[in-house]
Amino acid sequence: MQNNIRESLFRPELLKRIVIYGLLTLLLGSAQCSFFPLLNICPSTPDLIMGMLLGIILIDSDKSAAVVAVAAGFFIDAIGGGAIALSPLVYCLFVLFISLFSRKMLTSFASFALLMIPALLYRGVATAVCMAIDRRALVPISELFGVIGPELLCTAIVCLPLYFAVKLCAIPLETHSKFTF
Amino acid sequence: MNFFKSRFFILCLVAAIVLTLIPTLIAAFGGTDLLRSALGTVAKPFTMCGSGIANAFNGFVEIFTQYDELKEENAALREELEALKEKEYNEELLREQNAWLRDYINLCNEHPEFVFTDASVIAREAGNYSTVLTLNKGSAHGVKRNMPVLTSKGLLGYVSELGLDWCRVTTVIEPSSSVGVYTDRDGQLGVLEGDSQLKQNGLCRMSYIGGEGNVGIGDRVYTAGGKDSLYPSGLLIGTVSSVDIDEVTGEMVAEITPAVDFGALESVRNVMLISGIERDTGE
Repeated sequence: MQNNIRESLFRPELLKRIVIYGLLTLLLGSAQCSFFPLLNICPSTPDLIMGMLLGIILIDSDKSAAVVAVAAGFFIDAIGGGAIALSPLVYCLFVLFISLFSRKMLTSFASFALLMIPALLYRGVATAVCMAIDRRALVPISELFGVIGPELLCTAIVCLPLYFAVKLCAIPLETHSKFTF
Repeated sequence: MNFFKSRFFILCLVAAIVLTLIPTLIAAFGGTDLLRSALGTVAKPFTMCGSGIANAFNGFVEIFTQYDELKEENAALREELEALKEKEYNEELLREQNAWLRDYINLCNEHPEFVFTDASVIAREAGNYSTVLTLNKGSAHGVKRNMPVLTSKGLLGYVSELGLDWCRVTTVIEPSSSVGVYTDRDGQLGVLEGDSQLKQNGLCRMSYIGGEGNVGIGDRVYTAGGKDSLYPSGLLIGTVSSVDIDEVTGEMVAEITPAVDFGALESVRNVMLISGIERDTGE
């Protein structure tokens, strides 16, 4: 029994995933927390982790994306989060939400672009909820649009090329197994 | 919806909730989450790198986005700088003028018997060692040949050449100059002459020292005046800097350091001419 667990934990396929997605999370999370917030030409900080998760869902699997979502959410909150650390839950629910649409899709860029629509919708709702929790009050619509609009625009623009980055990083994984919940 | 039946999903969701709640609760109670701080430490090089790149990129982009703004600001700052320079220059002029007027008043108080005419230096001899100056006053201003010329420090020379609105001053250290002088300590008389060698160091010589030759270093030397002298009596020339015996004549000679620094004549801008002497000063 113990041997079986050990074997399943130290599968080369799993280790590769941990290393690749770990590095990707480290790089994109750092960029999301330290590069984009300081960039003057960028009106809002794009959600790179969301783009990465979208790519993983499409190219790898929902399962991998769910694990990465929880870890990346925790990491994002650790390096740039506030007192209320909602990111693991937000990203986990994001994977769940997107996997509703992704199962019958091809692993192509067009699918990725198409999946951006529900992803952005989710991001908008998540931002609104997070703002409301943070302020402990409903945020006025005009202010909400002022925050969400630029955020979604930046996320859409910056995340589209992420598909290729994730695809490139997933090459060493070789197998394309579509795990589903 | 088979998501909720998936054990994997439920595990992930539970992990997410735990990882959301624990740090939030720890933060709410004012504690430190060790795992979060460790992750922050691991990511620090990356975040520092990210912020460094962002700053560099911002700097590069600013060249294009803020070009017009920076150009305008630069022009405004340049204008402001010019105005400040002008103001400083005017203040410097006023300061100099003020110092000059103070010296002028002091000199007037010191020699109430003299009538002074002020003048400014407008040119200097084009040699390496200038001892001939051109002033901005001439015969049209009542200046006459051989009028003594002073600075606030002491005697400068006399008017040797005259024009309508200019005159030239030959200084006391010129070899052609010769002045009857006396020292302040014992009233020792002598003749102050220019010497071509001493002139190079801004000095002059006192010779024909009569009587007991009681001249010492540090004695002040004044013009002796007299009927045929160009200079009235009592104008400070300088101090005795060394005393020696002339090898040829065997007479005592003294080197005089003029009160006016002839080595830095370029700093002399304003001078005074003694244009008249009032013998009866209200007595």
